Amino acid sequence: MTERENTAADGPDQEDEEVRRGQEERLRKVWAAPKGWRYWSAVNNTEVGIWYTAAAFGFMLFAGVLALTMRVQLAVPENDFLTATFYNQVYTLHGTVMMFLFAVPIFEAVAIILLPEMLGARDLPFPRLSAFGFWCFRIGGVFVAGSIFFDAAPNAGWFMYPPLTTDERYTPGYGPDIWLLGLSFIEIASLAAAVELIVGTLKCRPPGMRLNLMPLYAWYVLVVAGMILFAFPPLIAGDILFELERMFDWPFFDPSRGGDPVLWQHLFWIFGHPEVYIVFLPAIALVAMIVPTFAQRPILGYSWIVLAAVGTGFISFGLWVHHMYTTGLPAISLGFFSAASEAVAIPTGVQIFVFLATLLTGRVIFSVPMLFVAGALATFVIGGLTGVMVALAPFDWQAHDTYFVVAHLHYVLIGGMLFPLMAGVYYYWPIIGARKLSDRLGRIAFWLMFVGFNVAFLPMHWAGLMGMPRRVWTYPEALGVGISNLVSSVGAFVFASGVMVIVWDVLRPRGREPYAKRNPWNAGTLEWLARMPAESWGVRSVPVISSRYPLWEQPNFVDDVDKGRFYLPDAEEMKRETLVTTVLDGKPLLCLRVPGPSFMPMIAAIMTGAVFIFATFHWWTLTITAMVLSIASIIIWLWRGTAQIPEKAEKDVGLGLKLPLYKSGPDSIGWWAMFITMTGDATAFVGLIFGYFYFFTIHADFPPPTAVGPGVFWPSIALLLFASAWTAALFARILNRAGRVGPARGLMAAGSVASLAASATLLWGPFTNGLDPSAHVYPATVWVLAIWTAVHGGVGGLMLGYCLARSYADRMTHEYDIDISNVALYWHFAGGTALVTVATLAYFPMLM
Amino acid sequence: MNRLILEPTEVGVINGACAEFCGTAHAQMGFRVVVVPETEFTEYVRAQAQPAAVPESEGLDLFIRNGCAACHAIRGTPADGVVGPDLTHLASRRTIGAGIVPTTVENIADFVASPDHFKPGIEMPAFGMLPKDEIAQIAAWLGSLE
Repeated sequence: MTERENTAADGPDQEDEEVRRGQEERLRKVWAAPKGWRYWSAVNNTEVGIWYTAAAFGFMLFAGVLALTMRVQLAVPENDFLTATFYNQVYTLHGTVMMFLFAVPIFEAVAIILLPEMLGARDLPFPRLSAFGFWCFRIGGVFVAGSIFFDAAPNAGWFMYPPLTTDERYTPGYGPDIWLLGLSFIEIASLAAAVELIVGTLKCRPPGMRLNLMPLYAWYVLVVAGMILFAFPPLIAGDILFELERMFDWPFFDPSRGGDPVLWQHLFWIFGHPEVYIVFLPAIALVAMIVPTFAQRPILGYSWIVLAAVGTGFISFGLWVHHMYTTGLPAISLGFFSAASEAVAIPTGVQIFVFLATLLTGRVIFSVPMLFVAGALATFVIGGLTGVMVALAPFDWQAHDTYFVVAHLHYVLIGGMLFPLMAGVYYYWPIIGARKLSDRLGRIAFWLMFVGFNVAFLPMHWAGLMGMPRRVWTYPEALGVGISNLVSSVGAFVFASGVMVIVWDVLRPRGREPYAKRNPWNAGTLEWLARMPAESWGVRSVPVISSRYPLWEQPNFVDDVDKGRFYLPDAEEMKRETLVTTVLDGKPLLCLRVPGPSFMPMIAAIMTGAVFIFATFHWWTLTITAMVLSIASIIIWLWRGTAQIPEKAEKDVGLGLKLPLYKSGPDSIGWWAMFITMTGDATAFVGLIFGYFYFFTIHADFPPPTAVGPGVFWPSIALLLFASAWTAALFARILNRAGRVGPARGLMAAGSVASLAASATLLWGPFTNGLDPSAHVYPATVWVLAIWTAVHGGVGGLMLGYCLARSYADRMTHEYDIDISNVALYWHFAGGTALVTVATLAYFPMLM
Repeated sequence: MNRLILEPTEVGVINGACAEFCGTAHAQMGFRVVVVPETEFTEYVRAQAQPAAVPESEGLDLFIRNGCAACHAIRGTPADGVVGPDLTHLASRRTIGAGIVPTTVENIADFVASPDHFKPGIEMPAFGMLPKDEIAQIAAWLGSLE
């Protein structure tokens, strides 16, 4: 951009230093984090991202200590350092914490910090949702991890297979409940982050950044967040069935009453296998940012890597049965899943070859991040090769549940996730800490970790092939794996010392060490616009992008951004603002007012957490109280913080562009968030429906011919009522838009009443026919589907009532109608859910 | 229910281990497959089908009196419990407690006194409160049930 263009616009004179200083002061003030105890009400992506990252690393260190105690126990045969019962808690928590409290959350945490910076956005679209997710994670994490200090931790493995875990005799106490409820709560936080990151990637890119100009990291975020959206809900559905069996004896997994323990394995691994890629891809995303910088050239094969990432995401949903080769499934299934498991090596290989080719064609600058990247690729390839071995069913039958698999999965996870993450820590630390981490300590840490890792895990391949099973607290001397285990234990401590070197490097006092220079690695992407130390506002002005590496390829770029020659260089109204653009082309659509600090997300998270924690201990009165308070706090949060009517319809965002401050429908971010959330919700519902038809498939007669169902009459009435509520919501939106506020209000009220009546009628069917959910799996399945749908009716009724109140309070008008627009969208999903439920429960049995 | 069918090709003892996590004592769920010529196998099956050759001893009396029979069966005696393993031919087994220790009278006595010491999480209560000589008598008697 030239100066001539800039002066042509009738905005402020960006060449005047006085003007710029005033703008910077306003921006700094608007985006500053709150001080004192109010600091914890911060919601900006920088603060929340850093808390999130620190918490996830804290959990990693905790799970690492658990791993070391296991290695001490296993160092010599027949050791008694840990008792069997305690060891079982330790190994269960090690897996659970590493997966649920470190590997997945660290992706969300790092993406919350980096994504807005890479997209030249000032914040993510829903900062308070990020904060809510963080507090949920923190509370749930401490609850699950802390249980071990009370000798009450889950003790049946991170996979929780029934019947071991559903039978009070084998797993007395609250362990499995803590696992199920604590993690369900954290899964909600993960889904919140997924919604946030998808909308952030699709709608908050800078002008001109078309999809094919996005940094690769953003592509990976999009793929992974999409995977979370489809992988976590089946687990939530499984958790619901599981907890109903544990608490109320509904026999979903009990074969003596028609249930099937293998259903849990399906639901768990439909989540569990994509999970591996949910963990792996974001780490590879860091590699995709680091490699071009240190090769000092753009990535080779950008489209290949995007296709490979998307391909991996798709294929990863078709592999789950390779965790179940020994459950006795038909050979044809094994053949299919074995082939799919081999196939995933192809897109994974593409990504690795793209990195190697980029390095080969560039001039590689060797540094600590590159060292970790090189170590990661080597380690991951070894893990990948053993993966191809265990993907073959006959080999897996031999290696299944032995230390061979332990070695394989650690090569994959540490090579594919931890080493790239450490590369990312060394690479991105200047953005957080304004200084580079120590080159010397980094090298020491890398070699300790790399050597320690291989010493610890390479011998496990042999231990496994010699017959050492997984998840054992000890082994007999006669097995002959004593030496191999001793070596592994020594390696584990060497590895841990490497981790401690990094911890020291991050935490050590810096004294007067000077700040790093800006863009210290000479990278090409937007996040390196950050000043050292970084300003709270993110970017000085939101740039126009025409290249994948604007810092390398767009002339005079940094100076233009710094002098505020792009969009939003000021905060005239003292409000936090960022740009919303179109999904495909990145055309400016809207100037989004982003909410500022608030304690409401934290309060709502505490209340929601209380629901899950009280339910774990069956304190029902407290649970219901917490549930009411949780709903109330969410409503207060929404009422005061969302869909606020701006003081003017549009504003000048710079460069002579005027943008609206409020939009509803598909142009708004809230509509997208609702759409994405409900997609996840529908996936969980599909998980429950899958349960119904799974039982139909495995039983010769399901529903059992003697069983009484919910009947046809009451479900049909319920369906009619659901349909009227759905129609009412739809027409309320249309009439309100058309300015006929009175009739619209009438429809909102009628729809609200109809949906509550629909829910009650749907439950009346099974109730009046006396369906006993603990008698057999059929009534249990009917009840769970009816309750799921009834809850959606209840929530839909509440939403319509909320819209009515907003309308009366003049917070929603015919022009400013985000609330009813999003609620109508909700009703499309709720109506669909009701239709499928009634069709399945009432009409499907008539076909037989 | 899955069935695993193995076809032995050579005579000998083959070790196995429980692979899927099965509860507290998962590490100690070993088993042995003893492969013998067919005639020897037929003889073994015939011998195992016989009721116990109960030797004259106070052991049986103590066994019944202390309630062991509530869980264990010994065919040919009034002991007919079904919760715990059948002990009719205990002495003909190579190991006790699913491969933990060799079947000796001493090991049987220690096992009866504190089973939890051998196998954490076991449902059998400890009988360490019985007088030592009673445990020894029971163990000696069980150890003679070929």
